[in-house]
Amino acid sequence: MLKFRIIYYIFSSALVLGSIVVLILFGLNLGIDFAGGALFEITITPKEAGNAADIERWLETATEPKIGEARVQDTGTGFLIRLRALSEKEHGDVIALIQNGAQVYAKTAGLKESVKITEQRFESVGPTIGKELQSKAFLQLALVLSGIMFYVAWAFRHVGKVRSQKGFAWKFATVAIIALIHDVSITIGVFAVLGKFFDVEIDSSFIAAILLVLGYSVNDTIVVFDRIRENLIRHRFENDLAIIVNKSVADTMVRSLNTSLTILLVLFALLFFGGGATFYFSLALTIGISVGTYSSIFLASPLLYDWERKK
Amino acid sequence: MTPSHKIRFQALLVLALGMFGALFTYPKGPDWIRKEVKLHLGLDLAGGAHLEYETDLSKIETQDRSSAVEATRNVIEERVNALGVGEALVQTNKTKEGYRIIVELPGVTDIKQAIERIGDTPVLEFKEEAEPIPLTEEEKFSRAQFNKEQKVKAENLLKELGSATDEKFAEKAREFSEDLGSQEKGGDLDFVEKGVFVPEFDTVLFEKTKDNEIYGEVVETPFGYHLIRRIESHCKNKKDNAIAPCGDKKEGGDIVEEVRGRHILFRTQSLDPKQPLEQWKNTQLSGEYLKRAGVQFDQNTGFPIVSLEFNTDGARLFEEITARNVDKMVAIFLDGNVISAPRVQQKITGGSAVITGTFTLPEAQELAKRLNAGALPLPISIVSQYQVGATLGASAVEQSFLAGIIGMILVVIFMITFYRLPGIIASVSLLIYTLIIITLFKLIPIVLSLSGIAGFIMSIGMAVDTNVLIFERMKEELRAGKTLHAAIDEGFSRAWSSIRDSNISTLITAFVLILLGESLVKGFGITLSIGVLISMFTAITVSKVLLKFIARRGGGGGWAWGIEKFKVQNLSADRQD
Repeated sequence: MLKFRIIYYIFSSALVLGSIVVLILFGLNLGIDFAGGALFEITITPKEAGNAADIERWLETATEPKIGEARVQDTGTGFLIRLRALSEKEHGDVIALIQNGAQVYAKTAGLKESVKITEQRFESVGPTIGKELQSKAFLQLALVLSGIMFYVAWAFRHVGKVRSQKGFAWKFATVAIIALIHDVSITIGVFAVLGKFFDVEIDSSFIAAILLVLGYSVNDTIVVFDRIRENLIRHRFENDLAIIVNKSVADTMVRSLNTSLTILLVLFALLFFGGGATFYFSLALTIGISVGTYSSIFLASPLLYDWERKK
Repeated sequence: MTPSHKIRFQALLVLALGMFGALFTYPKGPDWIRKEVKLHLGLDLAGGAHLEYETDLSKIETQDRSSAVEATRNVIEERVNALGVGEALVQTNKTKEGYRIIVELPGVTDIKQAIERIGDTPVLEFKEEAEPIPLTEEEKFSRAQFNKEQKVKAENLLKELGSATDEKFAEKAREFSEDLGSQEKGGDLDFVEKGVFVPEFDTVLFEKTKDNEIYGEVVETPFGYHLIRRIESHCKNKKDNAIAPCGDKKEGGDIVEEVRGRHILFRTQSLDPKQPLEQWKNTQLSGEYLKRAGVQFDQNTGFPIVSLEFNTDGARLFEEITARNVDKMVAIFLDGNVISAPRVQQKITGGSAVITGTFTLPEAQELAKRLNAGALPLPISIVSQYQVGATLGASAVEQSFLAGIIGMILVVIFMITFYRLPGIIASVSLLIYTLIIITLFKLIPIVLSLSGIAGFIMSIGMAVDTNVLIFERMKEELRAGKTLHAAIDEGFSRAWSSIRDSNISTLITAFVLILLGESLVKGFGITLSIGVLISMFTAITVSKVLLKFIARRGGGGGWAWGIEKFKVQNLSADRQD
């Protein structure tokens, strides 16, 4: 396994670099949680009384209140409308604007039914809150990463005695964190692309997904490392670290794959049957955990080997 | 108790636990527990509103801030409770910039009304009539300049007209007259009797001109400069509007003269003080000085009235206001609208007033209540909000439920195909896990948000991880030649360190989510951590008991355990211990 590690390194570096490049090029498409703004989900009955372009026009040409840019998306059953952050009064005004627009349209189109606007969801986030959430998200990332790092270092604290080297435990911890950063940056990279081309937004549930990728992906890495620790003790007269690492990865390969597979099965069920509300949350987890499984087998152990070998 | 008895007893306990869970998972829950057993859905699923208010602390001393925020929170809580929303939550949140108040209203249907009630600040104001505003020197100058120009225009036109025909005059009136009422009609004012127009105009029309004559000078009135042409005249009897001979005309009689004329108007701008834009101007007196409000009945009309009692400062202000406004009106404004504007008869001392209006009794009571409740101790404004209708959540719950069941079936199929007999046991453990979790969600209760449900569904996939680690280890031990019983023990004890470490890393994540997450993400952290803890129990304890129970009964051949064949005779080995 270690023989081919240069290939894994190149593959992983390419993915991570690619992610950084798209992140710089496209940035992240921040949802209103982070960027501030308002989001409506409405239905218009009868449905013919308005389409996305009409609603956009009604809102953008309004002067009282002045709304500015409106992005309206037809969801099939209704419309998703994205605007700047609104006060509660403006919230009512916007609904009235749509109601009026639809009414006038219905009249000219000769529709008999009276127009009814049903508001299913409304969110408005002021810009300060958005900024706060952003810094909170970074804080959460930092806390989870450092928490895991300290825990891994603590859990493997006795491994130094085996190799009679100080700081071996910290190498375990650092490598685990490198693998995690790898997983997370690729997931974020994918979402930067999705955001650019499919208008997928980053919201607080995405942050939750990323944090969970951190907490969960490290499991596979820990299983392999745990085995390396065990094999180091069991084969204490084996001086070739490569043999021990290779054996450990081979020993735990099936369980690494199976633990990931069970969660992926559940995630697939959520992706295909869970409805739109959790789709991107599940997608972020699916990507992150898949990459995490790969990295714990093909990246973490070789990195640990190379770092330890050079000493 | 022999080991065999002990295992049988434990297996029974596990069975009982499963039954217990099933009882509570079943939608209604058992009857003997005197408590409604149901899943508590968060407001993203049940519908409702999450409102985040910023408090304006700029006028509050630093040391009083937290108590002011707390007082505001209490008033809001009272108002929210008055709405009759179940499970409403009002909490304060200190941030870097100040204090926020978070209001969660699950299941509230009229969100708009709720928001209005929470932020309700009845603004009671007393206003007096505004005085006319004198013109500034500049305004006076520019207006005089304008008027001069108008006069020149009028004089030039008069010259041009000379003794023009009636048609010509009418044509010019249509072109130049600034009297919108008559311009269209060529300046025609129709027949009028004396006294209808301002005196300057009247004199010219009735006395200084004859029929079919243009008056030779520009006539100035408060409206502007007029060119006047008298067209015709007659006399009529006021009684029957019939034309009458003018000879019968006399002072105070029924016969009056009527004159028809045309005019061309060049408007001027008044040099008098301007009428104020607003009819009312503020006084210092407002609801702040109110001691209490009550409902009384008007002794004359019997209508309900709202009585106001001011504090000392308020009484003094009210006295001053009434003193300087005798014979003028003082208006009482509520939320920017006049509700009553009585004329002041005399100075009022003693600091009490009444609002008479056309109130019904409930209206008067409501107003008095609002005035007594007063404004919130602190001004608040919504900085972020989340409102969702119930319909959206309902379909999301159904879909997540379906996804959960499908996910679970997939996991069960996978575990049984891959691990065979232990896989079945893992599936039973997983089922028990699910039942326990749902029971806990209902009993604690845990409020489930959409992400919380997603977290729970994911935990199904994670719960079997522990089993995977144990079973893989067991296989290894079996291949190494251990007895089934020893392999089970070894599998559990050796896999423990990996299980512990990986679950703790997940718990670290869940903990950070609970600590720092938004309310909806927080729910995800909570379900996740409960899931991790319970799964460690079911996957380790429950699986172990069930495995040993089966192993004791022979446990089938090596195939059932996913290996070629047992290397040692398991049955005999087990019977010895």
